[in-house]
Amino acid sequence: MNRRRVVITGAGTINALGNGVAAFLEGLRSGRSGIGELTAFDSRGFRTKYAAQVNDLRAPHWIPAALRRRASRSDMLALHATREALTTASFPALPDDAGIVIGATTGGMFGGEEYFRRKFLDQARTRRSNILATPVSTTVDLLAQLLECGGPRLTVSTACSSGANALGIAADWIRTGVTPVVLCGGSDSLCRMTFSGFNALQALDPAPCRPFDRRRAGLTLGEGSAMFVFEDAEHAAARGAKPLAEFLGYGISADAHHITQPRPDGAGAELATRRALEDSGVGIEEIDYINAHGTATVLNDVIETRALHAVFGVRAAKIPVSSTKSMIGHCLGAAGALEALAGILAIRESFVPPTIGLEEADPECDLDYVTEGARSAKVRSVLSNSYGFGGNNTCIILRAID
Amino acid sequence: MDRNELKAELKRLVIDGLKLEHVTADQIQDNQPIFVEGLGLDSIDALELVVLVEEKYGVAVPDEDVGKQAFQSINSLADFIAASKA
Amino acid sequence: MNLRPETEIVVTGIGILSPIGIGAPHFWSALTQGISGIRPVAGATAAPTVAAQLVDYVPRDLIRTPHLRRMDKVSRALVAAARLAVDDAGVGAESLASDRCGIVVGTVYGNLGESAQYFQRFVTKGPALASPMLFPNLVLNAPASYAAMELGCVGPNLTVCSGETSGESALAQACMLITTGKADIVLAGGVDEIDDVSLEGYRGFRALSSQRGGREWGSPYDTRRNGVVLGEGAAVLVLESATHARARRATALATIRSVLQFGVPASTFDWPRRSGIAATRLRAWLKRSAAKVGAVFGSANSSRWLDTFELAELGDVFGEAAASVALTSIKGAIGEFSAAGALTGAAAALAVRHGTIPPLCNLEEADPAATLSLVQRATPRSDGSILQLGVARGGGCVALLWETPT
Repeated sequence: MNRRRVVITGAGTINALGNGVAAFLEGLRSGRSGIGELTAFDSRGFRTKYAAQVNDLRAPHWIPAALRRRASRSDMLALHATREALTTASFPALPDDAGIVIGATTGGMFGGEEYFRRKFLDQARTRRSNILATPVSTTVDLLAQLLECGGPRLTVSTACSSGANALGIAADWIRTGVTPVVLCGGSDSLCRMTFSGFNALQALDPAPCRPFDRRRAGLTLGEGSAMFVFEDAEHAAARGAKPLAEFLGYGISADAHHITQPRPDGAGAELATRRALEDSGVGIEEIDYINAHGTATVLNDVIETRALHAVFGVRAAKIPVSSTKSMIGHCLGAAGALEALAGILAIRESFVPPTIGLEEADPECDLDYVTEGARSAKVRSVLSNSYGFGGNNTCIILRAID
Repeated sequence: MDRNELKAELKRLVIDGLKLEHVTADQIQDNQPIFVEGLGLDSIDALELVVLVEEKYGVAVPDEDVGKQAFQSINSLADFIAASKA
Repeated sequence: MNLRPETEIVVTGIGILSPIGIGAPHFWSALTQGISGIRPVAGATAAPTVAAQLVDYVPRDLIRTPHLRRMDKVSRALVAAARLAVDDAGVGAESLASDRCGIVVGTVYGNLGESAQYFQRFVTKGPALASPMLFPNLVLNAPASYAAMELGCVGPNLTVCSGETSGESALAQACMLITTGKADIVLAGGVDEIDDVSLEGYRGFRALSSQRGGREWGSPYDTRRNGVVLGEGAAVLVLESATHARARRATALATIRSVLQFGVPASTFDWPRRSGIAATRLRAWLKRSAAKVGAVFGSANSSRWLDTFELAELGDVFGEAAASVALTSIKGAIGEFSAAGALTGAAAALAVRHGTIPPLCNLEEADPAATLSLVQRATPRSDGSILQLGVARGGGCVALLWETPT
């Protein structure tokens, strides 16, 4: 059976480097850091004051006032990115049966936290329903309502691999004929729960994160959204849309090891990469750029490097590998989607984004991490890695349109 | 507080705070390593115990080296708390 | 590459922890007897004073991992259900540990109970005292991850959320993993809990039974229904490609013939109102599947709005043939929660297996809008497929067709 091909016809983003794909591209090209002082909430008492925050975030003007008031920080991020994705895809409105799938982990938690603050600090009477009005699936329902989408809808929450899985699920819906068009991506906002949680696990670097550096001491949390229009290639061609790139395939695996720590042998990460290559029908010699998970935690960067050696063998040293988290932080449920967009931009603009902040490589991290700044290069196929809390690994592969 | 009382309290803190199953206070030896073997504890437990000790005794661990030394055994932990509060 | 759209997907095992019993046999026995799990909530003085709370069980009897001590109520229930399911299906440790075995869990709120504990320490004592032990359990995919650790499953592992259809969505995504060749076996289901936070939160929503007058009860499709009664529990179904099940000589309990995920217009937190769109989508799908439906397992939860929506749309789907189609909902027995669809799916599979449609609980006076035949007592299953319909606030819908395995 001839498999349907999945192309990406629209893309949008908002993250610490700016609002829109152009700002993101400029940031990646110039190796600009979006990391700065956290102001979304009080950072006193945490190990770090740094975050990759989206400043001046507001609900977009094009949604009804009633919904503007209700929109959570995660909703707002997704709304901005969605608008841009639909515009680039030249969709004034999505088809009736378009699907929506988003990766998210915090949903409306940032607002929901107020419930707990008031409850435990005995402040003004809490709006009791507050905490239940914030599930992660709300963003998808809001988009479906606004865009009048009648297709399948889903939120996938696999911690830091959520965004990558959302793209994979969108592709599966298209490949199996569920629907020809899917709005997909990831959206996650900063909140006290994740900030304090990673802080408690001593996984936050007091300084801005330094992926693959010998002195790295953890991640820097970020927030943002990247949204895409995924489309059956024939559907896109029929309406004369110009695809940005092709989504070739993905692979998923579980570590089945520990709730916070990755498997030391990297077998889970390795399996997900191999599965992605198989699903995409791509050989290791074809991968031109790897967007690493590269969180800058002590364990991740070594284990990821190990897994890449295991899969790519001698070729591993020849492929540029970078962590764009060094610029936009770790955006958790949105990370996989944001990094897919970095991959698409690498393909379209013929460059490899750098890893910034890496001054002295860990001896166990011995790949080409693109430390000198963005590099011009012909990029045809990109591998993007996402490894989540709880041992969820997802790798996706993107390719240039021929 | 008497040192023996403190040690008994710390054992209860380890058992209750880390939700240990089928472990009683008299099974924990004063000089037994808490985290290396025996109790089946991992890095999350180590971090939790640091927080529990800070919450209960108001003594914070200034850095990792001090922490490693202090949280070796019930004895060393009792020493650390006594010294910090002295 | 391994796209296998014609793959038959069968259920070979079921594990359930519910308000009406632990394990599929107890669940099914209570369900067919019309026993409701709705009972008084200890110490409650305002609605909800009743809820369908999970019956007691001993986690250590079912869960082997040393991580059990740290697992919260939600993760424990899901992992215990997964263990019951793989035992029921007779899946060996070797198959589980294969990278061809996946896990898909549906949940919306996950572990709200411990989130209150977590925030209490963080809010009152400061960030430095936030608990590193509790935080990992607040991550929504903790139950699915603990299940992978318990069973050694290194295949695809997903946690999905879609409001009250999260259980159905997990089944749908599990089918997708098998259809697209990413797995041969998937443990699929869902879990949600009742805790102090959810009780307080739902109280604030004012959508619970009796909050706008009347007695407090859960009575899907009853004309005097007056709101939702909360429930909790977990169900895991072992889904397999029929080829794989046959190769290991497993008994197939039921087949999932087809899945339809769609949406109808609704405001984000509201139940949808009748628009005819659901009926149109369902009719077209049933026609494509050449399916004749004998019974419907609906999502009615005693809400005035949801039940009305469902009765109207289903009436439109079946038209003049409606009276020959049986309609039931198990939420009078198990209450409403986001993973209830996983338990409804289990009930549909058991209905196929045992040839019986379980009755509605607490049905006193049928809503006159019901054109399908409401099931008043356990009834023999007629020929034809079982349609499971899940509907969520916000308008997300998932439908599954259950049939006798070929």
